[in-house]
Amino acid sequence: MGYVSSITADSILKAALRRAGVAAGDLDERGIDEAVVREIGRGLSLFLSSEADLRESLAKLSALVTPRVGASGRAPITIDILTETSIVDARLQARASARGLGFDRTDQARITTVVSELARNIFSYAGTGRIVLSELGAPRAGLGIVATDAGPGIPNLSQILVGNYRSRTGMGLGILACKRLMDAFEITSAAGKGTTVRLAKFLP
Amino acid sequence: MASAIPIIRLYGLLLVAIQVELSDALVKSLRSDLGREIQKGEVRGVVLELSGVDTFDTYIARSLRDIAQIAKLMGVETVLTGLDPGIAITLVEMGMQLEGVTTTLCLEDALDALLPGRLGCRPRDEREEDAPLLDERTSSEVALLDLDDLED
Ligand SMILES: Nc1ncnc2c1ncn2[C@@H]1O[C@H](COP(=O)(O)OP(=O)(O)OP(=O)(O)O)[C@@H](O)[C@H]1O
Ligand SMILES: [Mg+2]
Repeated sequence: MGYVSSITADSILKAALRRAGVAAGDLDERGIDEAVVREIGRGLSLFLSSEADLRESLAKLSALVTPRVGASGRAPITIDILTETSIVDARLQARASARGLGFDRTDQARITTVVSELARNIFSYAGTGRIVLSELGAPRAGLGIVATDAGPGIPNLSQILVGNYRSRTGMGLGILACKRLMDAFEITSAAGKGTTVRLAKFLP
Repeated sequence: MASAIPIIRLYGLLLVAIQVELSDALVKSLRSDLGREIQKGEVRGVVLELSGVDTFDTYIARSLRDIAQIAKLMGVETVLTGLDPGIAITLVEMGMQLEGVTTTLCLEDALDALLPGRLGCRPRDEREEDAPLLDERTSSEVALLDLDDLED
């Protein structure tokens, strides 16, 4: 594996962003798009001696792009969860996305239910947060769902995940339902820092 | 704020056809409106017609179950009807149970269950087998039936 010092990497990235016309502050919002990857590749080619190293680095970079841009190139949809009515908004957007991607009615119900649970959890326990719906292209087509908040986090996560938890407010079913209804499920939560749930549902 | 869901009185039944996206606020107002209607008296049953509902999360499911249980405490039976198969499947997979809630496939069956003999659109002996008048299957059993149907 070729070696690029962090100082070099930093300047490659800065130059690439400048040439691609992306402000560094926008990177989180926009994600790494094709133009940025192309420019980073150009920068890397100046420093990496072997063709194989370059190809490997470019493949890794492209992998960062694929989840954000699906087959049809539809842009990800962000739903800010701010009030109780955001829960309905999130549900409507989820259904529209699921339908648009060609999921059948049962999968549409699974997807909207999951998004509704996530939105409700954000609203009830973290106050505010956001849900991003994105079309997945390679390696498998489908819908990606990411719910993030900067709320209190979930201290007893492991207990919840094994189903040993019955909450006072609800039934302690929402997070488990997300896991059961989706094809891929990942949750990270840190006390005082917030919670992120990543899910994917693949087209059959 | 969206307008409340209408409650129709028919032959002593309270009919509620939900055709809108169910926000939490709407669910809450439906619950209190139904309670008030039942208190007015002369209610023989409540029918919640759900064919227009296409998301059923834990909150909505729990709220509808609560409505049925509140009605029962007031001596009134509730029937849920018209549940979309996709939703039924989702509820089962989630592990959501609607204990004590009666469900029927269609509105006619719901009316028939609550008002036996009253409507008479189909004579009793023409009905499939000897199905109990009030379908005592839980919704998850009904949902499992739907799953089986889909696999045919
Ligand atoms: N985004 C979040 N931030 C902080 N705590 C959360 C968050 N999401 C869930 N929790 C905590 O995890 C618990 C379990 O959540 P889950 O959605 O599984 O069940 P519930 O919300 O209690 O009930 P249900 O979803 O069945 O109505 C919650 O009771 C809450 O304490
Ligand atoms: Mg929840």
